[in-house]
Amino acid sequence: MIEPTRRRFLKRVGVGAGAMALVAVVQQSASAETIELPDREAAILLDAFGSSVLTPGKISLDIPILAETGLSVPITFKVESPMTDADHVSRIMGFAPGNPEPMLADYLIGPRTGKAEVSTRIRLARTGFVYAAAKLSDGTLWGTKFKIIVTLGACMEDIFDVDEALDAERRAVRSAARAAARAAE
Amino acid sequence: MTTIRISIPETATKGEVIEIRTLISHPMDNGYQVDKIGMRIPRQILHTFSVTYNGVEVFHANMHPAQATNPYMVFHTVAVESGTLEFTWLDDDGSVFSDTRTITVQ
Repeated sequence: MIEPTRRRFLKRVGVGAGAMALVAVVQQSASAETIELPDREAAILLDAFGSSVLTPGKISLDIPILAETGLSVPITFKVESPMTDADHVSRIMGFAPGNPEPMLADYLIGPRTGKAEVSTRIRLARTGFVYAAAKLSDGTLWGTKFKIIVTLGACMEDIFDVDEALDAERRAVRSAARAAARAAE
Repeated sequence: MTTIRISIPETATKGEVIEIRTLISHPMDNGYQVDKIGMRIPRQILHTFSVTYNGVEVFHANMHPAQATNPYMVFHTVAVESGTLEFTWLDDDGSVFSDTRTITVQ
């Protein structure tokens, strides 16, 4: 005998909702403990530090939420550290997975630097996350990520400097193809 | 012609953390841009920036194509003794740009 439709429906929904809740819990706990980096960036971290597991905290990014042009975006990396011989930041790295080359910055600092804070200007190709990682003298890795909207990306100048002759040639090819299609009809 | 601008206090008290700002004019061609005839502009960037304080390196930056044109950098150092700070930039084509500043520590 077939079960009544309503009961079957509720059963399915119950199982589905349970599974979804479980996935959500797992994802939340994972993001609270470490920062997930894309493969390419994780490989760079692994190469430089021997680990790609970043604990959120200590490092902060000062960056605009929206950048009108990706050609020059001000960015500040700040790490909470007393910068003494015993406890200091040894390296700060920045990544933008949306760029053709993900490395943004790589600073080697130490107790003589006095303050773990560096500002510069970077290029961003498209909207996406910017990651920062800091290695402390005790070997721990800390990280943060921030989503930045880029209205106009870098490495896109070719859109504005259109080659007139090439453009005319392409237009001719396109219109010839259209004419041929019309003739075939 | 490369212009270098460095902002650093002339005097400081011993142990004080001083802010240094540097700016160098350089196109920082990242290798992903094309010129008007569609030819790719080859990569030529300043790949390294290093600061030494009386011969001891206090700040080192490895720069990448993501560094914006005319690299601008703000960082800090501890004023430990009177002396000279040397700022050096290394170019992909092998050229070296450098400048020095003196600081008096009381």
